[in-house]
Amino acid sequence: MEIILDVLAIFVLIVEVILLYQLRANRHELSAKVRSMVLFGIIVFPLLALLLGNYHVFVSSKESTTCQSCHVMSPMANDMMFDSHSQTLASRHYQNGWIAEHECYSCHADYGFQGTMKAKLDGYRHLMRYVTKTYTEPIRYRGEFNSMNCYGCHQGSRTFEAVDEHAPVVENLLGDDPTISCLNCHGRAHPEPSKRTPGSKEYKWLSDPKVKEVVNAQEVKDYINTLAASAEQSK
Amino acid sequence: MRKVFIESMLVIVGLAISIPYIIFPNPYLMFLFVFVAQPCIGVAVALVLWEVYKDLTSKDLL
Repeated sequence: MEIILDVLAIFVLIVEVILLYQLRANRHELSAKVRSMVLFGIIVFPLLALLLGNYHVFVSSKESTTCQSCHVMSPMANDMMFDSHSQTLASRHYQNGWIAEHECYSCHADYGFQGTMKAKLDGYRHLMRYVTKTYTEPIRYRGEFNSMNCYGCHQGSRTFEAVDEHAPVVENLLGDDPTISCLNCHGRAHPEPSKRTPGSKEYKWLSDPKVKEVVNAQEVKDYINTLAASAEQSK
Repeated sequence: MRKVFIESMLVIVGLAISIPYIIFPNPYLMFLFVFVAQPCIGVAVALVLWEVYKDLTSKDLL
């Protein structure tokens, strides 16, 4: 899909250059040809470019590597992908292969196209603050995590339904004013702020980008999937 | 066609950001795309449509 987008973008660029050049050469007369060049050169193709760009904003941004591309997210990404001793929820979900793809987005689904307007505005605020460097580490989640994002995957699973304590929690979550969070019982989703504070013992390792190791993480994931498949076969 | 000069410039600015963002997405280009390119192209399209509307009403076609 990425290659198709790139090819389309280059196609739009080439057509746009030709159209604008032709428009400049024929700008003295308002003929039908010039009108159609205005239609395609200033309305259709630029809007197509916006569509492709927004595809990246809303769809490609679901990839965990996209979240990881912001330096400020390194502690969360490194903990999730590379810390084999971590007991955070994100790390356990990622390293055990419980989420097949879009690991960040699966829990933070509110930022997506179907999410709330508030989440999107939050996303734009995060982007603004990151680029203008008007943030301080450790970053903290300003809102409240929507536990329905957990329920979306765990709903109906045998292991989830088998725990009697989940029944009142689900009732609470489905109510008008939920007061319980999954994190109350299941622990932190990401490393605690003290570990993500510059100067702390763990900060250097957590904040060091480990982009190359993403490939290894995928290999680990594939290996886990292979083990799961062989376990299924042996049953 | 003096009027499409501004629109053309806005489109050029918008595309100069959008195309690199599509090919090499990163937080900085994303910021420029969201806060600069989109408004530029949006304004260009709105200005052209406004010109078309004015043209049509002046000729009693609308």
